[in-house]
Formats: sequence, structure tokens, C-alpha cells
Amino acid sequence: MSSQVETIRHNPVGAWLALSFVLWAIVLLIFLPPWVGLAGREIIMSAFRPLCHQLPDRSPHLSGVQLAVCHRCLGIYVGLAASATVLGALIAFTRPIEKYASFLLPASLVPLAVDWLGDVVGLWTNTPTSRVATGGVFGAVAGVFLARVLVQAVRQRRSRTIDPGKSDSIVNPVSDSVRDGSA
Amino acid sequence: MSSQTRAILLGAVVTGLLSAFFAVVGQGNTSGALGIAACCLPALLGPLAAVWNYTNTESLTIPVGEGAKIGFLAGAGGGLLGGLLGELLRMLGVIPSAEEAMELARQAWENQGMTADQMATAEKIAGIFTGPIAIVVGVVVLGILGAVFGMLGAAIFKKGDEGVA
Repeated sequence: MSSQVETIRHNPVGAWLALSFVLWAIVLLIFLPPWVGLAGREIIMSAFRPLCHQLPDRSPHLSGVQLAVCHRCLGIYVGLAASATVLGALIAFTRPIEKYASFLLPASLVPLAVDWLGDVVGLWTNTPTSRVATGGVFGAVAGVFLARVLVQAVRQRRSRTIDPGKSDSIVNPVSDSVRDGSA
Repeated sequence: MSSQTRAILLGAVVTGLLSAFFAVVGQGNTSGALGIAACCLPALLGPLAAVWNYTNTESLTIPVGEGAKIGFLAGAGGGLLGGLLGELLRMLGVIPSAEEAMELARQAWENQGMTADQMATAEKIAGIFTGPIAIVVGVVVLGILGAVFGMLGAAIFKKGDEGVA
């Protein structure tokens, strides 16, 4: 067990896989209520209650049973997991957007806000699809940066472990981009 | 009080107050749309506010682990504060009491086609997750999500050299 933890602490691929596993496990939990018994269903719903209003008419149902979060939260969690998994694997290609993180993450909330605001002021009625999609945009953008920051942190830790005397090199953008290319 | 503790407290207050605020405006009235739009916002904004405050005050770029720690504590603290405020608002009759919430749950279960026996079982289990247990669940769940958004905060709010003040 401790060797597995060490693998995750020092191996960027291990960290990426662990992150993907955790995020997909959350998505699995969200989809689980229709497939488990009453006790399990209530426990899962209670666990997600602090995070989501769980209003029946704003939440997806499968086989007539409500899932653990609303449409918009479902979009966020699925987007987060999918993007951290897919774009985490293509991390070298996401490097150019890193410097725009402080702009892109708030910007990814704009579609969500517009979808909601249009409904509130009566311009249109948002739909389950629009709520899932706009939540998904935010989740996807957040997932990219989450995967990047975790993989980079593990790389830095590994660099320090392998060569403590040259820990300064980890902030060298050239060597960092070389490492990105090898991912 | 260290700047990190102050930042964590700020994040906890943001999460706690927003949780209570959205619990109130999320009721089935005309202002309910605000609560509906932003049910995830308290879990997101508190940890981000904590990391932003800390990195801004100390002019630091913090490691991802430090971001996760600050986010976890801000989220967990916010869960505790939000839970306590929720109980207070319930006592004041501002938001539905446990009994009224259970009645709403019963209606939802009925719509799902549950039998009376099944509803009694569900009610028994739902009854466990009220009061102090609900607050503990909120602390744990918001803490975990806070750690995720604290990591994100560490990626977004970069100031000066990496380090821990």
C-alpha cells in the first residue's frame, strides 16, 4: 500500500490516473442511486446534499429514480472528470493555455451565468441540456487546470527527490517544456 | 493570527454564509432562481477566496499541496458554519424544518413510485442524516471539494516566488 502511495507521489502518470479514478468515482456515485437499494440510495443522496439543491424537477432521473445532483452539477462533475482524464493525457498540448488560467476559469462560468440569467429575465427557458452543457464547460476548463497543477506538482516533487541539489531547475520553463513533451 | 489562518477563516465564512444565503433564497418562492443557479457556488468560492487571500497577502505562489490544505480547511470550516447557520435558520422558521423537509422528500419518493414500506425505510435512513450528522457530512464533503478547488486556486493565483510564508 505504501509503495502504491509512493508511486502516486513521485509518478506523474500515477497521479493523473489517481485523479481520474477519484473524479470518475464521484461521477459513478452520482449515477448510482437507481441501481442500489433504498439504504444505499439515501446515503448517497445525503452525501451530495451539502453540494446540491437536488430539486427533483431540476435533476436528471434514470428508471424513474433521481440522480444524486442536479443537471448543472452533473455537467460540472462529468466535465471535470472527462477533461482531467482526456486532456490530462495530452498535458503537453495544454501548456500554452496555462498562463491564461486566471482568465479562462472565470470566463468558463459565463455560459452558465448567461443560461441562468436569460431564464430569470424571461429571454428564454433553459433546458436540462443547456444546464448540463453550460455546467460541463466550466467543469471541463477546471479539469484541465486541475490535471495540469497536479501533474506539475508531482514532477516537481520527483525532481527534488531525484536531484535535490538542482531543485531550481524545476522552475526553468525550458526544462519544464522538455518534461511536458515527454509526458 | 497568521495570514494563512486568516485566509482559511475568510474562506470558511464565505462558504458558510453563501450556503446559508442560498438555502434561504433557494426556497420555492420568486427569488428561488438564485439558489437554483448557484447551488455549487459556496463550495467553490470559499476555498478559492481563501487561497486568493493568502497568496495575495503574502505575494506567494503556493504549492498544490498547500492549496489543497487551505481549501480543505476553508471548505470544512464553511461546512461547519453553514450547518450551524442552517440549524439556526430552521429554528427561526426561515427555512423548512426537518419535518417539513421530510414531507417534501416523501412527495418526491411518492413520485418515484415507492411503496409505503419502502418510504418508511427511506424515511428511517434519511432521519439519520439530520442535525449533527448532517453537519458532519457537510464538513467532510465540503472539505473534500474544498481541497480540489484549493488546488485549482494554487494554479490560478500565482504571485511571486513559490514557497510557504
